[in-house]
Amino acid sequence: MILKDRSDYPESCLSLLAVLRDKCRRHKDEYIGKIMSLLPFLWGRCTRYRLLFLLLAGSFLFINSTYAQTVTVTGRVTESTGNPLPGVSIVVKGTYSTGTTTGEDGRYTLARVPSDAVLSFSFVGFKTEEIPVNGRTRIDVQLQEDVTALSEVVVNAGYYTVKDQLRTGSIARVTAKEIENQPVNNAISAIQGRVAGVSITQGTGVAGGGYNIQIRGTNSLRRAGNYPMYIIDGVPVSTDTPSSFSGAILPYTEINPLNAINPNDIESIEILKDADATAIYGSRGANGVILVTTRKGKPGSKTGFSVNTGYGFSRVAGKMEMMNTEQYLDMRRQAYTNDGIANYPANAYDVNGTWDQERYTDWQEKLIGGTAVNSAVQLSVSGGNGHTSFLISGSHNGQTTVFAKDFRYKTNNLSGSLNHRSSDNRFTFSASGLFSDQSNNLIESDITSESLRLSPNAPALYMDDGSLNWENNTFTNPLAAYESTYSNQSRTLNVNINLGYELLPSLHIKFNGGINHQVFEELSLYPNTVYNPSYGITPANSMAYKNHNQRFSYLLEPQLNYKHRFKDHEIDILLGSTYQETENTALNVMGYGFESNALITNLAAAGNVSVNSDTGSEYKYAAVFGRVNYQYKNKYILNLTGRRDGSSRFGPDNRFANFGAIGVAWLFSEENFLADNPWFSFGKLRASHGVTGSDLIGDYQYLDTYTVSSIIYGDGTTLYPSRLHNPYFSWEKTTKLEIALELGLLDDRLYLTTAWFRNRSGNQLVGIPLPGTTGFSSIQANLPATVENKGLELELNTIPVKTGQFRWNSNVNISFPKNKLVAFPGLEGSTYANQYVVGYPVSITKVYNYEGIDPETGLYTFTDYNEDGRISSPEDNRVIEEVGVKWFGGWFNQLSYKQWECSFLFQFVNQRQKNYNALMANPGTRFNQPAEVLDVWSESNPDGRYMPYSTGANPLKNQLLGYFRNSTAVIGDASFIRLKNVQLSYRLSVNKYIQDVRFYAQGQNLLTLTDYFGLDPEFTLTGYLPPLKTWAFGVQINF
Amino acid sequence: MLLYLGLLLPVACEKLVETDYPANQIGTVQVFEDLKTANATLGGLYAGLRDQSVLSGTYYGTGSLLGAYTDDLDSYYNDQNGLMDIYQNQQQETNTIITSLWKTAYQQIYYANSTIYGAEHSTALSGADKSRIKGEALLVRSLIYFYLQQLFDDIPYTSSLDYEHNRRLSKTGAVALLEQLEVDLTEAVAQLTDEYRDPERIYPNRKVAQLLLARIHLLRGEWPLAEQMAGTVLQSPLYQFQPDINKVFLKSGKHILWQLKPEKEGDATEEAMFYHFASSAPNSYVLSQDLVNTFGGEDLRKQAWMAEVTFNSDTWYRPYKYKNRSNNSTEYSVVFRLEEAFFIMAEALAKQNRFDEALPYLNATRERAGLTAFTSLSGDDFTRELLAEKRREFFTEFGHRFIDLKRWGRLGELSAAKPNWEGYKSRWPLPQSELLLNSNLYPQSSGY
Repeated sequence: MILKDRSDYPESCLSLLAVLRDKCRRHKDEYIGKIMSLLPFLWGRCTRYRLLFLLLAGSFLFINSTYAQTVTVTGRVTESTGNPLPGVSIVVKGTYSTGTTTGEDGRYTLARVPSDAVLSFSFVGFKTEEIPVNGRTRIDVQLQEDVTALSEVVVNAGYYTVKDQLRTGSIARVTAKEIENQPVNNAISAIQGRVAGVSITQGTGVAGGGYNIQIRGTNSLRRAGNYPMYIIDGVPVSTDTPSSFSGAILPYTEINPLNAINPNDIESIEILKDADATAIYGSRGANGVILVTTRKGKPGSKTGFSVNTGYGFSRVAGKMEMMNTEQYLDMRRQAYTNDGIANYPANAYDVNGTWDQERYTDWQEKLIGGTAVNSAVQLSVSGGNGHTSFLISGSHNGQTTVFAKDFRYKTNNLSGSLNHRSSDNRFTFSASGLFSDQSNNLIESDITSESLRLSPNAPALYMDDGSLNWENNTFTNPLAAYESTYSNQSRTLNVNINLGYELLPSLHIKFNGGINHQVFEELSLYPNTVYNPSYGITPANSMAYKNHNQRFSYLLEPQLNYKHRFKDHEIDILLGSTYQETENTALNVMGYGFESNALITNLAAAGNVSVNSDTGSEYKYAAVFGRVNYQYKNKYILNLTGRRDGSSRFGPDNRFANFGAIGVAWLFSEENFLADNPWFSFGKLRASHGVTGSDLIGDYQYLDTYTVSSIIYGDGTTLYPSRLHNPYFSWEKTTKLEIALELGLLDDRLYLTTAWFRNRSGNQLVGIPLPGTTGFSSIQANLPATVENKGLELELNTIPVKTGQFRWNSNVNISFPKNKLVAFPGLEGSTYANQYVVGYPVSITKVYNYEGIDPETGLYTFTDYNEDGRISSPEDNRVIEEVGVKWFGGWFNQLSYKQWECSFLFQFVNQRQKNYNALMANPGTRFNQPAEVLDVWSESNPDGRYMPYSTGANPLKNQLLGYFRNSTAVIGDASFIRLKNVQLSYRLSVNKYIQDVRFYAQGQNLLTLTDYFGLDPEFTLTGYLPPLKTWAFGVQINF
Repeated sequence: MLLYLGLLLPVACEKLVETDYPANQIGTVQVFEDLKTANATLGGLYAGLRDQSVLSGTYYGTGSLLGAYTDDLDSYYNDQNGLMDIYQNQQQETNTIITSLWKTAYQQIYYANSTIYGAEHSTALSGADKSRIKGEALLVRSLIYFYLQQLFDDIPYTSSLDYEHNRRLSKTGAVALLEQLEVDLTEAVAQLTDEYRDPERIYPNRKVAQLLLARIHLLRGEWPLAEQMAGTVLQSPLYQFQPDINKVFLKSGKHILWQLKPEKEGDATEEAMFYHFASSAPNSYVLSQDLVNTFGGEDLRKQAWMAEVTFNSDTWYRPYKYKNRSNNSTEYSVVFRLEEAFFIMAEALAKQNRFDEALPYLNATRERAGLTAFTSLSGDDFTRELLAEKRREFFTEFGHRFIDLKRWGRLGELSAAKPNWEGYKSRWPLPQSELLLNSNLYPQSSGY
């Protein structure tokens, strides 16, 4: 029949099916037989759509049997004290229907309820009641408070929500309660240490930067290939940094996309980890998904205002103990003596008498020892009636830096949301918008390493007249660096629109759409005043760089949802498609030659302006996805998800790929043999397996092109080959496996989740390093290598004490990730031969074995493995050092007594990292050194840790120092325990006008215990300002 | 429902995820279908040579690196990046400057190869344009190979774009490599003409290829060929010896074969900016006392090409061949000038024991500098004077002293001024990172 005409187009079988299904609805019996006979045929033809086909087939096989007699039910919901409960959600069990919620008086009306249905009444903090209608029209319900409130938590899984107890996947959840009011700019900081399996490292103590976030380890051999996916209110936001100039102040130029959201606007953050949860995101889910849901107005609540204001102070969390002037000069003099240099050179100002040798400055205090001041204020209005609710929130945040100049990070946020449900409850609409305006003004280049290296007797920063002191041109004044600034301004708008319509009680159509728009502008200034005036550089050499970056992305996601229950069976089917298009334009302009530095920010005033680059790129992405969830007796659950993705980032032959997962769960506590066990309250065993992918490789990498450069030669612009070209690379795929056990004991007062996972990422999409003789340092290609991340995650939530007015929650989480390169055919002959070893983590480094100092000669010694009498690579750098996190976790405690609430969070990380030995200058040269370097070898101190000082004139010592910097001596323990967050709050009910007032005090990073040799054990790249410690105070008033 | 299906259906369509070329990129084939864009690929090569290459006038080029490596420059760097190690002749295989120099050189070689390939396969360019483009790219490639060979002795050679081939290259021995360069440059000479593309001589012509070929002949001991090549340049009506010492580095001179133009009108040359310092102690390079002492008081070059800086009763001399630091309208960076042909001629004749014929070529720059001409000189005396004169003439210009001493086997003379000098330092170590990425490059230069 129809098939014959269309058999050339296997892609069209979806539409064909839909047509069939439409007809089927009308002529069910007649067609069912035919359809059934077609199934094997379609299965064979449409190999690319098997999963979807199954979904569809499932959905219309279940579509009948939904019609029954309906009634309108009304009633009132109260709590055990008899007080009305507003906001209770009432749904017909087993349907998609949003149902209704109770109003302020606890009353509800629900129309078109099948007379044989079961109504489910649920509200966070209370036990869900399920009540059969049995033809009744009035049902009053009293809800019982739930001790732990765990059972009713509904978790956002992105395209669908799932009751926490019934989920088959691994989804971590952090709620507003844990995040709110923390003195942080980005909610990521607030979830550090709170979630098992999510390792978070803050890149810099400067506001407005990025994080290294690893959800279950490092999958990709590329750094940027490990970014998780971020979705804010249903709209994916790009993780690509828009910045090109911030590299010297923000590590990796990373700017986290969640900087654009006020943490206090967040209702919850869900982190999807395993295959079951992430496969529905297909090609973008391999590294996990971070879902951010913003706060919404509550239906049926009265209009309320809230004011929240806080104030805080931050300082560097720790300092290194450095040499003082006497020790330093002693080191310098010894160095010259050791090198046999009797006359100090003309430019050795520190020791040759040019500089005052009595002077001492603590440069850490002077350059990074300031106090950053944070202030935050937020105003919000929310309210709603039974059908419509809204929330509007505006906030302003400001933060200065610890640098000795007035730099400032400011954010203004305006967010709003509107939710509406039609009076017949069939149509739902919700919209949310987030606008953020961030501006960041910083020093161009981080001055932290400079503060550790400046000679302690370096001259004063200022002359008596207040001008910068160059000490007769002998001193590169570090404050001059402050003249060179980096600033950026970022305006982002994130809009989400969600429409839903109930076609049938069991069938919903839904549309999710969104817009993400970012305008990012940055400016780097290099005025001539940065340089020593003796160079004679005038404003004619002042330079300004401006980068204007604009990103616009839209998303269209039509979806269809079918939910049906009969007897003990419940099925939930979701089918949808995604189309997303992102446009990016960047204009990078440089101007130099200004008449005056007062004009430097205006490129129109520059003598010369050149366009460094003018680029535009497009990213297009299309997908179909689906989910089938089947539950039997609320205790056996099967969850199938799948996605077919197409992405413009790949060459024409490799654009499409399939991803999918299966998840199962068994709620064994529902079984008869455990049902009445007094101490056993909950038990679930779940497992999942599936494939996800990653297309985080940037646009156009498969093209063979020349790039237009701004560099001019002669009379024209110039062209350069863009890259070594490979049109054949394709998707990176990660296969994930997880088994988890959830146990609730003693009424869930003891709740333990244990998860074991094993993720394997193959077909590694990397820039394969190439020797320079190829003209490039790498080529984009797939490697046959497989990286495995496996591990164990434990979460224990307990309520040790719960009396009338005193309650103590204590949660511990700990994760043991284990990364391993399991296979790499051809590794030996490849360019990775010296970088990776099969059987070891991908974060290893191969180094020389440092044996210590030869007590006879005072020189560093290293193991000469091949005994050829010399230390060389790769023969002798054979020691494999594992750098990175071994295990990590957090311990969170919350105590409440009457109106008082106190909580504290310890974060602990066991790791090895490069220490300060890797960074330090040659001891004896004109750079200050840590006090540890005082322990130098001499005949009287044969156990000294460092070689006798040298000014760099001793070739042998330079060579040994070179080996030392690549030896076991530079890798050390960097474990730490940090008091991440402490807070104390007091809530006061005032009167009928002011609902309540909450006073709070918070501390962030107050205490760090570590043996790390270096400034701070938390860093993504060395040499940047480490995270700060903060004290903050605030008050929140609700009207 | 229909709307829904309508949205679902197009997913099957491959066109949905097709994108256009980005605004700033041009397909490689298209580039060579148009003369302007094909020339722009050469522009990329010259800009690269000017900004960051063995020929650039900053810390990165052989002018300063080899000046410091030999005894022409003293370094006052207080650095961590390896410049000081090169100055002190204690460079290691991990030296970042050496690594970066190597990688940049091979990147430029790739660019040149890409241009050669593109021109050869172009269907739209005229035969003459194809020849010229190919000739220029061959010349630039040969020039880079020449410096790499001088620095590292045995180096990998490639004319291929295939990364699978290029990632496994082995070293080509010095003898075979010079032979190959002779072939390549002969080809470049055949493809190029004497005509300059630009009257300011900012693009090389055939004579530049011939002068470089003469250098190769010298290295290969082919004295008559070197004589012949240098003669071709000297006899060309395009060039005239510049008699005025103050005009040697002015861009308008007819003694200039090829010069690199700064990026924008009015920009200073890299050299003018790089060596400058005043009223302070030096922070980078100054001319070594050893070099300054080789200039007699009457040598005009001491006044014209170096500047004295006094600070805290210490005195230094900095290179001052290029003078304009702003609003520069008279200076470009000279890469090849006629004087070199004089020296090549002198050396080629002397090697054939024709000292009398050679002498005028040695005297030319002496006389310009106000020194008295030699009337008779031969044997080792001639060699010594030739090297000394060339050192005075070409200091900070792309490492002539190192290359000359090396060719004459006299690098050992450096140990007088350089305490760490040892025989094996006549060549640099190959970058360790390169050896690790391509094991065919072993063994490391001996001694390292």
